Amino acid sequence: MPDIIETVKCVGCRSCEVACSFHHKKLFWPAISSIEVKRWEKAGRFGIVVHTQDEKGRIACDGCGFCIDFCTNEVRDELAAILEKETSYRKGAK
Amino acid sequence: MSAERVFGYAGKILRVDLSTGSISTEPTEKYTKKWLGGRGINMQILYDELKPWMTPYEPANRMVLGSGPLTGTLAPGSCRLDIASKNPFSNGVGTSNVGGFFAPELKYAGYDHIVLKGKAKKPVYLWIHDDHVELRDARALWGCSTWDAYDLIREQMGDEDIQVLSIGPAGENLVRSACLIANRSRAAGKCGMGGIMGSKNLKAIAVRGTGYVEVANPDGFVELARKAWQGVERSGCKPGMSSIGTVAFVPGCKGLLTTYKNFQDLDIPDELLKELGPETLGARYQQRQMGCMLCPLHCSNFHKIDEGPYAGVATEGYEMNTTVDFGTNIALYSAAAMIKIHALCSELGMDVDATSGPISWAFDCYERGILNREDTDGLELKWGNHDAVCELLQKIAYRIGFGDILAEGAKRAADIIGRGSEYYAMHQKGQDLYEDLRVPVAWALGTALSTRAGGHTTSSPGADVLGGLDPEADAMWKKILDVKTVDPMAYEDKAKFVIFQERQDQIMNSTILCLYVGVWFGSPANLMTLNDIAEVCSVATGRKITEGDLIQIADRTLNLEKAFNVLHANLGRADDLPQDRFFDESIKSGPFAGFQLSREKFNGMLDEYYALRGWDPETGLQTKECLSKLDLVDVAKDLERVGKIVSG
Repeated sequence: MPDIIETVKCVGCRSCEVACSFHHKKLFWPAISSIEVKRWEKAGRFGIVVHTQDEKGRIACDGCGFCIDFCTNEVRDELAAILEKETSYRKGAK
Repeated sequence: MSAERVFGYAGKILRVDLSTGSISTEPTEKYTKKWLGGRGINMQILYDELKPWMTPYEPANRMVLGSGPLTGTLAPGSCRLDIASKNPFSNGVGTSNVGGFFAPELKYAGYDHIVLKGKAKKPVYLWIHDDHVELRDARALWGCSTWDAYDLIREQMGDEDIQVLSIGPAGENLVRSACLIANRSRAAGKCGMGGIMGSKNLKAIAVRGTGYVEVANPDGFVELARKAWQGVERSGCKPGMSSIGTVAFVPGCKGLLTTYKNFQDLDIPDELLKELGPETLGARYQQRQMGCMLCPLHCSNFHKIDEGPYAGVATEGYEMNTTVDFGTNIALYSAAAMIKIHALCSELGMDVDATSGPISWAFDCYERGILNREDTDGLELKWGNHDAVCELLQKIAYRIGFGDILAEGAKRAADIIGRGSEYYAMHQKGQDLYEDLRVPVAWALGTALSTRAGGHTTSSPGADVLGGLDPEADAMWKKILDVKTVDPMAYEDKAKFVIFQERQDQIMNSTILCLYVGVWFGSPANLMTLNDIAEVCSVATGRKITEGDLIQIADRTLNLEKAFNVLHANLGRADDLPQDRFFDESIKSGPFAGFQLSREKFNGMLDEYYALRGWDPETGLQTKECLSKLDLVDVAKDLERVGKIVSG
């Protein structure tokens, strides 16, 4: 299991998960997504997990950045930075 | 995937008989030719399966929970769940709606709707994990708050991604304002759904889905979804909503929607605004923005109190409703108390609107000497006493002492107390009001007409609230609505405003999308119009759906609700009028100071509305011709049997 990355701006809406699954399979299927949002509602915190290997039904991230297209404006930079650090995604390289 | 499946839907409706424990499924396809999803399908099931003599808390009553063809996709705001049952306030239509994460999870588990009937012999909760569905023992959960129920179920099942819809003590004790809470904060507030679930001995529904939603034209769908997403990001409501949620609207709504001291006025003192608006409540206690699933607006937020009498309270989902319901309507000068009250309502499982109704009524009656300390279990109900409000919330949820009377809602509580208190019970069709029914006039008309007994999210036009604030927007709305004026105090053409919003809201609640991503308070230039939704639904389902089709579905749903209200609750024209007090008392201060609602002109608006709807303008009854055009011939026959339809 990859590390959970604590976020500051993420709002926990899981749109990135749904977008990711669409990129891989043309289906809305968060269970297979490369990206996963951890929601600690009681504490008001959210974490991100990026799966860089195929594991437990999840498909490895290919660094496409499609999830950023459906990330809310206020959080995009944070998500992009996480992807740049964890995956082959490079901002502006599409 | 079976050949007959329509894309967009999960394909199955889950049916659970709590009396027998029987669990079965049926194809959603049975309903999708005539309806879109969500509210329409919910209403058809309710109409077909309930009889007028059934009462809300009987085992025979149904609770129907539904997603829609866009739920769980990348359409913005596609996270909502619509819930229908017999309304404990009116005995007519009850509908409620909730965001969060439950509806998409239900779709991923493979179900579009859940139909519940009967009553379990002991407390249970419904556990859905893809194809595995079972009723589990909930005796250990009975009596728990919604927060504890949520934690315990996830702990018991060993999965932190389970989505839970639960009731608190209020639902167990059949409090009329009891609601359903999704996870910890999001409420299916209106129409007492918590008590319906409690009457069935059902503590919660927990769902985990690992499947998918498939649309007919994936690439076409995603392009339209992206366009809609970007429109929401550009919309005028985005900056405020995405930074402090609907609390951002409080300053702009001062004097427009801020009911004061149980509707004694519509404007509030500046000091109260300062305490309850973004300046204090937002700046002092908000820690983070949070979002419902798949929503670029993310208008929810996390508040935490670190000091003072409510230190340690941490809660999500505070909204402007709580500000108005309790803050302005009971004049509570304490932002911290507001957060505490919001948290208590979530834990106890009570709708903030319908719970504040009887409390603010009691404060009003106390001021007038109609109620005294002997009535209130010794509580001093003076405006601003937030300790007394917290005490009453607890008493209501557990039906203790005076709380047992308030648990019935303001109308019934006033009927019990008498002494002229009935005049101060502000309700519509029996359900407590959040909205003032004087002005803005179209907002009032829409709320008064609402089939589910008040509430502003089924028919109350935002265009009316915003009228006169921005000349450019005024010109746009005049063109869209084909009206001469958007003056909030004018009566002219207001039926047109309402019908426009009814159609928009019916479709938002059928697809199901959050109202804020569609045309309500924002501009059609950025937010989703019926035409936009028709295009998205077409590529999702693979069926050609036009704006005209959507209007037909919206009108059909509304007419089915109207017929249900006539058949089950004998609601008629008199029930579409506001309470006498709204006609008798003028607005005292603020931008509408001096405005007095005219009974004659309000009746004129009803005449106009009924005529535009194709109903009988005199009685408000539906006509055979209208129902026939909407493919509701069987409904017309039902109404004919009881003499409640007009020829023509």
